[in-house]
Amino acid sequence: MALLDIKELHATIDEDDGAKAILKGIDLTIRPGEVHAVMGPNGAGKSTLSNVIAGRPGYTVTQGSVTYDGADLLEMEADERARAGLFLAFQYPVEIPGVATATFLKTAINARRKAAGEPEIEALDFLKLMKSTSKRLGVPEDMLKRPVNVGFSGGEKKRVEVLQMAMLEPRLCVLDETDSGLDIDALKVVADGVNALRAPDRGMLVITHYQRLLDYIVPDVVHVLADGRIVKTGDKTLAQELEAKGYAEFTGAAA
Amino acid sequence: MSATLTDVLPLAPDEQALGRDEPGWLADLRRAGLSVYRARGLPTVKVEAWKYTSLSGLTKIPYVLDDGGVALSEGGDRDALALDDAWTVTLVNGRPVGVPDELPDSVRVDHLSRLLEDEPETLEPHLGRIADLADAPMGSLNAAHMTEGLVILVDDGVVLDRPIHVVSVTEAADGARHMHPRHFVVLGEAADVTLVESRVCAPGADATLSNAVQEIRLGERARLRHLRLVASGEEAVDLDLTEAEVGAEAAYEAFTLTLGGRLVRNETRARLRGSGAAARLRGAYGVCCGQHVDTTLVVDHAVPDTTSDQLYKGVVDAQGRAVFQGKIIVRRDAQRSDGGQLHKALLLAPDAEVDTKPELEIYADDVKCGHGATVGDLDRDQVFYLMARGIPEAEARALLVEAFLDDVVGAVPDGPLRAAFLGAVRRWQAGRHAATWEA
Repeated sequence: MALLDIKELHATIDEDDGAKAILKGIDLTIRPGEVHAVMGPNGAGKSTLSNVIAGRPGYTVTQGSVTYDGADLLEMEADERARAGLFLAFQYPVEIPGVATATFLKTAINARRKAAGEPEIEALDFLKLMKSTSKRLGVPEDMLKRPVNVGFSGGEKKRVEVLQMAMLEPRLCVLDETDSGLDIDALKVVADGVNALRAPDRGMLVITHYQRLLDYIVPDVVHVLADGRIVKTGDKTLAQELEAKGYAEFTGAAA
Repeated sequence: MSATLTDVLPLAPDEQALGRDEPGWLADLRRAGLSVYRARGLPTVKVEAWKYTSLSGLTKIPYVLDDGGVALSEGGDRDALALDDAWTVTLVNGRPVGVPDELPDSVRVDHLSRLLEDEPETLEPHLGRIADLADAPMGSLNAAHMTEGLVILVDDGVVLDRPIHVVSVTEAADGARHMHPRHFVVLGEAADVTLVESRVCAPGADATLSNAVQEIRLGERARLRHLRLVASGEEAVDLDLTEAEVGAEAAYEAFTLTLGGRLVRNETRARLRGSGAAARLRGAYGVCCGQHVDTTLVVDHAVPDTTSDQLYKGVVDAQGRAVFQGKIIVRRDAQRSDGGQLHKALLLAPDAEVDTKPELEIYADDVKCGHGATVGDLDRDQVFYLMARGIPEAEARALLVEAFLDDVVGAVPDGPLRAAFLGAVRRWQAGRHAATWEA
């Protein structure tokens, strides 16, 4: 069974002056173990796609369906989706003053355990998990005592996103422009972290503007998104092709 | 004639009986109080200091003066802060029940009634001399009525390593009672004390009117941390006027957390009377469900080289109303005063309301004073970020509310004290969500 099955998805973004159509018929299927990349120019609908999958308020699905692990994803609230194993790595991780990163992580882990009818994580087990994961991702431990994302550099924020992903053990990871704002060293660390999570029962959707990230996270399938539609699908060589030729061919076609 | 006046003016005492068998100075104090109350009556919104809080509704409730005789019920103090390591004294309807054992000789904790009876000369220099009630109708009414309260006298140089915890419980009595406790805290030079107050309500003891006045005097270099939890009953009217007179190099550090009560007014006045005196007035409140919580602060920089800061944060949920009035006065000669004020409120529902009134009265020219106020809702992106990690919306919002209050609750010393206050915030949040879910 497909892990994620998107059919004929149309979505609008709610704006002050009315709804604006962004997604205009997306079909996309991810099976367990697969890594899909969605590439596209600015304004193609990449972030809208990730936000609609994650359940962010402010978007309306006008047509089509999204099925996750056999369930109707669009019927679930954002928190239910996350507890069901969906993880969105944010393009712009949100700063939350007053909430320590460690507290936040523990609350998230326990929310999921509670929903699964499991007891809360033991304090010692949590500390061990946090220590080993942060070490692997090169996140200094004292950062986890600080409020969520407050005062973190761009690279640190992305690293902590991947740290959260590793600790929450999702089944479907959606990475929204995780490469934006990263220098090459940070990019490698983040990509290593993501690669370590590749597993036969886990799917990934990597959304990016540039091919650079895909040198490190090598996808099984590459889709080109332009003007709210997937206009081309291929293997990893498609990404290299795009790097050489740019998006002009598709934006032209879409216009 | 007095009977007629009592009819016209609710809550006032019988003038004929006022001050009978008492020393002249005390009788004068009572008469002065009654005359201010008579002249001004129950405050309404026409009075600037009560601009957003009217007491005129109190006339509808047939309050009778509390005459004591009510005992602490089983579990009546269950909502008090849980502090194991403290000298605890319990008050029922404003009247102390016993005094803590094993206090050092240098600290006296006693009943106001006992001192009024046996040694009024001990009280004479303080009682009614610290708080200036000429402009305070309710404080003046307290002066006319007061018979009971707690007296804390600390000798010079005494540093207490444990807090004194005053657990003030409202208990059910026949009918709705009104009560007028008067408390005193006098610290000698360089004394250092942490005073914790839990104002709570026993189950079923809702309709009361407490009109308390606290007079605090800090000697030179003394320091008082005054930490308060106000968790009064659902139908309780809880008025408190605290006036602190702060000596040279002394510090009054207050933190007030208000979470309960139908109508609560915490009026805190700090008068900085000696060079180097400091007042830090901090607090937080959580208001919902038809509650009205008024915080009124006045800091008076009376002499040069004093500092103050006011930091309050509040959360107002459905049908709650909060009032924040903060005033900084800098007298003509009070050069190099440094005063700050910041009030931030979160409105969690469309029918939540907050009224903010900052006031600066500055008569000196070399001063540093500033104020700020914000009112907002929870950040949508923050709520979504937490939900995207699997945290249910109600829990996400509660976490963000706690985060919002984090820096101000941080004014409470770290350790068991802060944990106790945080526990109270969490219980309030849990109760608020329960209420929302039921509705």
